[in-house]
Parts: sequence; C-alpha cells; structure tokens
Amino acid sequence: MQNYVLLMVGAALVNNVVLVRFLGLCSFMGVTTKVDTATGMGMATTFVLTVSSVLTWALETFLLVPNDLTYLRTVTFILVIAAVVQFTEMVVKKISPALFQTLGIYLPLITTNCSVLGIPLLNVEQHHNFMQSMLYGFASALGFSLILVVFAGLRERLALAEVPRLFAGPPIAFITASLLALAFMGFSGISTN
Amino acid sequence: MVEPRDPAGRSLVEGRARVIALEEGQVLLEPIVSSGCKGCVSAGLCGAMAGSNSLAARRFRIPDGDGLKVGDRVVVGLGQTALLKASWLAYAIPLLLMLAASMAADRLWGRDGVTALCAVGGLGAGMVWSRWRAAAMSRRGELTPRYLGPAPDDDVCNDHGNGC
Repeated sequence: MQNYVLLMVGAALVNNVVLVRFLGLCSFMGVTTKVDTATGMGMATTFVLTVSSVLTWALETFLLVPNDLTYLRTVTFILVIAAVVQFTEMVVKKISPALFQTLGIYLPLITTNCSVLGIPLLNVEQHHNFMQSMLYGFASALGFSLILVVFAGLRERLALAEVPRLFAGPPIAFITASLLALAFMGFSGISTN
Repeated sequence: MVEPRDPAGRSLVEGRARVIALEEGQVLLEPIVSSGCKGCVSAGLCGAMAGSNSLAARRFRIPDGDGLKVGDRVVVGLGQTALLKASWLAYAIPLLLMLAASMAADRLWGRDGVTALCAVGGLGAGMVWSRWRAAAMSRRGELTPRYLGPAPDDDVCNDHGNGC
C-alpha cells in the first residue's frame, strides 16, 4: 500500500506532468482562463487518462509483447486513446444527452493532449503492473487537473489586476507559470517515481 | 467586468449559440465554436472543429419566450454548480468506483487479470449510477442552459483580433 501512495505522490506532485515533464502544455495555456472550464477539462482528462492507462497496459501485456510487436507501440497507443475518447463521448451521450450537451466540448480536445499519450508510454518504460499503471495514470491526471485549476484561479485574479501593457496577456501568464513551476520544485526529492 | 448570475444570484458559465429552429414553444440552438478555436493551428484536426456534424450533435433546446428568430446569435448560461455536478457525475463517479473495485480485488486476489475484470465491473456500475443521477438532475432542469441575452455584434473576433 505504501508503494502505491508513494507512486501517486510522485506522479501528482514530484514529477508533475505539466510543470516537470512539460506535457499537455497546450491545454494548460488554452483552457485555464476560467476555473469552471479548467475543472471540467481536468475531470475529463482524468477519466480518459486513467482508462487509457488501463487499456494500454492490457494491450502491451497481452498483444504487443507476446507477439513481438512492440515497434507498433506508439501508433497503437494513439489509436487506443482516440478510441477511448470517442467511446467516452458515445457513452456520455447515451447515458445522458443533457450531460453530453454540457460537457461534450471537452472530450475531443483531449485527443490532442500529449500527456494522454506520454503517461501510457511512461508506464511501459517503468514496467508497471496493472494496479501501478492505473494509479500512475490517475495520479498524473490529478496532478494535471490540480495545475489547471490553480493556474486558472491565478489567471482569473490576473484578469482583474493592473498589469503593465507590455506584460498583459500571454507574457504575464508565462511568468506566472514559471513561478508555479519553481514552487513545485519544492516537492523534489519526496519520491522518485 | 460583471459576472453573469441567475435569478437566485448564483454565477453562470456563459456560452454563445445560434438559433436553428423554433419548435412548439421551444428554441433549438447550436453552439458557436469559439473564435479562439478558429485561430488554432490544429483547427483542421481538432474534434471541436470537426464540421457541422459535430455541432449538430451538440444542439440543445431552451424554452421560447424572448421573441427569438432563426439565425439570431444569443448568449446562454449554465450554473457553475451544474457544470461541476455534471463533470462529477460523468467522470468522477465511474472512475472512483473503478478504482475502488480494482483496489479491493488487488487486496483480495492480487492477480492482474482478476483486478482488471473488477475494474471493468466498477466502471460499468459507476456509469449506471451516473445515468440514474443525471436523469434526476435533468428532470429538475438543472442541466438546461438559460437564455441571457443577444450576443454582441463585435463578438465574432476574439480579444486579440485572431480568428475573424
């Protein structure tokens, strides 16, 4: 159990997917203008990333490795992630059309989020078993969502602040992101996973 | 900057839509893809910009009562709490049940195959629960956007003049 906790802390905080691994930066800058949209996107990404981690583990373990097809890993994972996103969209639409209308816009955006491909590849590289793959995907996505929400909160406050014209817009957002990354360096050394 | 609020004083998340049809006391609306999307270099590949089929799938209805006409561009709002509740229902509940089921299976049997099967079972159970809760929310009208007013004329371009 302790191993799982360390794995999750390492994935969410120490090796944060956005601020340390520099994955998913497009969504990080693009969907963080409001806390609500950042939360919606974060939850959608958490769902897709966790399910993708599980499916790619199964694919790697039962199909690619036994048949010596590991050279197809990247292209296979991309296809699986796209399929998971489409599947999630279909399921949400089926189980509740009202939910689909409310949240459907976020789902296709996730296919272009490189962290959703990066985490399953890291799972393979670190030889995780089923449980470790799932928790690593879940914790990485939680770390991603945390950064999205924190950064959205900061940007909401920045929108009301008096920023010098030269720094207004993206420049002050990048400076804020770099300060956030510096703050997260404080977690270095807690866990190496 | 004034944050939009509903009659009960709760803050709303705004969106833009176009009136597609008027049907027996209801207005059929289609979301307008944000100009930010148009300016994106991946616009041609992105699902959010995947043409009329994608937008047609996202059409929704609101009660008529504001004299809207076909082609009008309007601003609609959804309660912040409704958006969070919907996200929680659609993603968090199935995911948490999947995690709980697989952790229990891992503790009991410790075999990857059994754990994976239990994870699928937990995910399915979570989706059934979500469906039941979402139906209740929908019946109470919590997931229906409300009309806030006409969209401003200069709303076509974003703040930086991109994507016009």
